[in-house]
Amino acid sequence: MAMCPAERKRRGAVSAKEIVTMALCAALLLVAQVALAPLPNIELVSLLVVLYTLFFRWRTLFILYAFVLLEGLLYGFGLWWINYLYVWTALWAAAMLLYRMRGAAGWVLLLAGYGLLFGFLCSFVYLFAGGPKAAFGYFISGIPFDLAHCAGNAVIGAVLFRPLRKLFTRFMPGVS
Amino acid sequence: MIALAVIAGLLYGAYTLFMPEGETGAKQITLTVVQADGQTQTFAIRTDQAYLRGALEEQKLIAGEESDYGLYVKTVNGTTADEGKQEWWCFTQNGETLMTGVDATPIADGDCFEATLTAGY
Repeated sequence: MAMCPAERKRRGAVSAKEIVTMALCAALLLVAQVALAPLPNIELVSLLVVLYTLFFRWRTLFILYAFVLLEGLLYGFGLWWINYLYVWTALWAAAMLLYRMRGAAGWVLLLAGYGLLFGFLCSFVYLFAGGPKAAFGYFISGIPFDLAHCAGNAVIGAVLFRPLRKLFTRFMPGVS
Repeated sequence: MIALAVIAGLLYGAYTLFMPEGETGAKQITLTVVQADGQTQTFAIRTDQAYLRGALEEQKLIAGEESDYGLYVKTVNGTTADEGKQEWWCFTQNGETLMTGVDATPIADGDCFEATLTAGY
């Protein structure tokens, strides 16, 4: 028996329109990642993950893991891919905790802080794969890139967060 | 904002404190090249270079592409990794994977490195 939209929403069901929208969002993440891959730690993925979380909430996980799977298929399932299984989820969790925050400044700070701690989060995999020395070496040698990631995320967030949130609000009003 | 600046400062401090630095001066290192079929060849290298890249380039043992992360080594001892087969050169020191690129890996007298042609990312 078909559910009415109100009942579907109450049960947390995902509509066909939402599935298509989320598939497009996952594809957009992949395109954004590949397009900016030549630039070291300058990326749009973090910003998009935060924006998706504001609109899709828990359903963002579908987008994230579709993106992670696509990344694995494209680049191969190496150790870095294990990182991807949790680093974006950590950002999603932080955005979920803060989703009532209205001003853009707080989101820019979250993006910058996430960039700064990205290498630290990724180093956990090397803790299990190579031991504490390997994890520490990975973390320390990556600090210049984390600093660049922090600055890049701050600039991208400051420039694009507001206009993209407006764009999302306009084109996906029924999602949030 | 202040907390972010403090964390960034601490990270920079940790980097300058813990990032190993190479020193120039006479030293001998070895590089063992392991091919995809398991064949190995070991090179004893005398050098004054401070970092692995300089020592291996002096001997014309490596070549690759410059990137923002340093040299991306594609060729070792004349064998070029086939990216179509997801091949890449894995650098290790005494069997432990290096966490730095060849540009940032310091060398000391007696160090033993291995370059293994590896398939699969």
